[in-house]
Amino acid sequence: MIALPEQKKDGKNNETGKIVIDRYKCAYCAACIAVCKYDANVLIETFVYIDEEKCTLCKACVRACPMQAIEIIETES
Amino acid sequence: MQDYDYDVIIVGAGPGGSMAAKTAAEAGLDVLLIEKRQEIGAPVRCAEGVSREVLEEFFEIEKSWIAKEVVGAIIYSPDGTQIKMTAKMAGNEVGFVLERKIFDRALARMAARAGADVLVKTTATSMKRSENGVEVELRRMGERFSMKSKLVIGADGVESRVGKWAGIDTTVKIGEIESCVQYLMTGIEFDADYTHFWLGNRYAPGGYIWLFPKGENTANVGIGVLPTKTKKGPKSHLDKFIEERYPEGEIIEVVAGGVPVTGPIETAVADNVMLVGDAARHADPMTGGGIANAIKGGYFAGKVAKEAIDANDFSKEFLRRYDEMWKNDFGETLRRNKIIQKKMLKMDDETINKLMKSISGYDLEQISFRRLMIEMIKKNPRLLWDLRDLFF
Repeated sequence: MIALPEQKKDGKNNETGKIVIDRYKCAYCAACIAVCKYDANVLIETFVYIDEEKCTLCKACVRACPMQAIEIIETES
Repeated sequence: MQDYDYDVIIVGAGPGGSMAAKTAAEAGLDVLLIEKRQEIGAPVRCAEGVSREVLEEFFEIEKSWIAKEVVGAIIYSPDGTQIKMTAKMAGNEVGFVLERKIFDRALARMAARAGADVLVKTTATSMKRSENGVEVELRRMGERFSMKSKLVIGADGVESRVGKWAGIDTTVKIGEIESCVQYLMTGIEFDADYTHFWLGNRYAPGGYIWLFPKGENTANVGIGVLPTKTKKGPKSHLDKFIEERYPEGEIIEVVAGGVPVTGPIETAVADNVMLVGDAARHADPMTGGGIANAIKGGYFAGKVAKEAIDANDFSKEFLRRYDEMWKNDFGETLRRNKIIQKKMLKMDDETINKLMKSISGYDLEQISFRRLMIEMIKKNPRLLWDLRDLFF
């Protein structure tokens, strides 16, 4: 069986942290945007903007990124 | 009285969007084509292979578009077994290797020449329906404004927003996107008359490695992997391959991209809206090739736009004729190739070796893809039994 992360009431899972993009690695291809179910990111030409309010830390973008430019960093909760 | 700025606003000036703009403008419609990048055709997110027939069907081909013409494809299994296919049977992605930076601009120029207005460095930020029309919010070099049209064609790529705004289900799950990296390499040795494909988990889990010639010693060398099949990401797989095979080469360009491999979607239309190309998930789920279907889809959408304007009917029901057109043309191939792709995802490298060996003796100059698959199914009935209905 696959263990799913516990869901908080607001749909976010229990992880704390935030998505960051390494601008030096990013090739602004938008693969991360294609897989985001929460409309939490947008490509502004060569810049990926992330809406932290909408982001659920589901990591779909982390996995889809061809350049491995995206990671979740820990933040104080 | 209704005031419209345009009959059609087309979002995205790749081959699909420019083709739609060209077709609609040639039919006499008022067309606005917008592109969020500051340059049309760059950065490329593509291996640049396209079939000769499709290009010839739609255009007077100019030499400058074509980086290299090839006669076929060579496929390598994990153990090195080779199969040589002619361009005709290898299908949509073989024939020409384009120079997309030139080709995309040429297409946009054709659209402009036909009368379309073109705005680059212009992003559609939202869209809402108004009475019998659509209002698109645009942002151009910091300036915000809105334009009203009867129709919107979303040719806005794998990351399509237009589809989402219109409520068309274009969800790409993490197991339905090929995560791709490509290098334009120079100073390497290969048979420049063929495109080359390496299959197997050894090379590219859930995808393949390709080499598309762009000249005698220069080629697009790239990889697509499924994120659900590997944790390492495409770049490290590709780097390993290059280190083994083309260590002498120099990389003169890095390309990245995500290719949707969902198979055909139920519908690519909503009220006032049609989707084209990657936005409509029209890339081939087996090969990842998308240019040919984007051109066709753009043409169909442009034609249907004209019909809709003539009929003054922009409803989903009317626009369904666009669905019918693309489904009749390549919908069945998308469906079939999605089934083959799913089947291939289940195969380990041993199985791929075995299948490739079983057909390596055939004269592939003479045989069609369907015939080849039938032979392969006959020789490996237990492995491929569930594919039989697709080809017999």
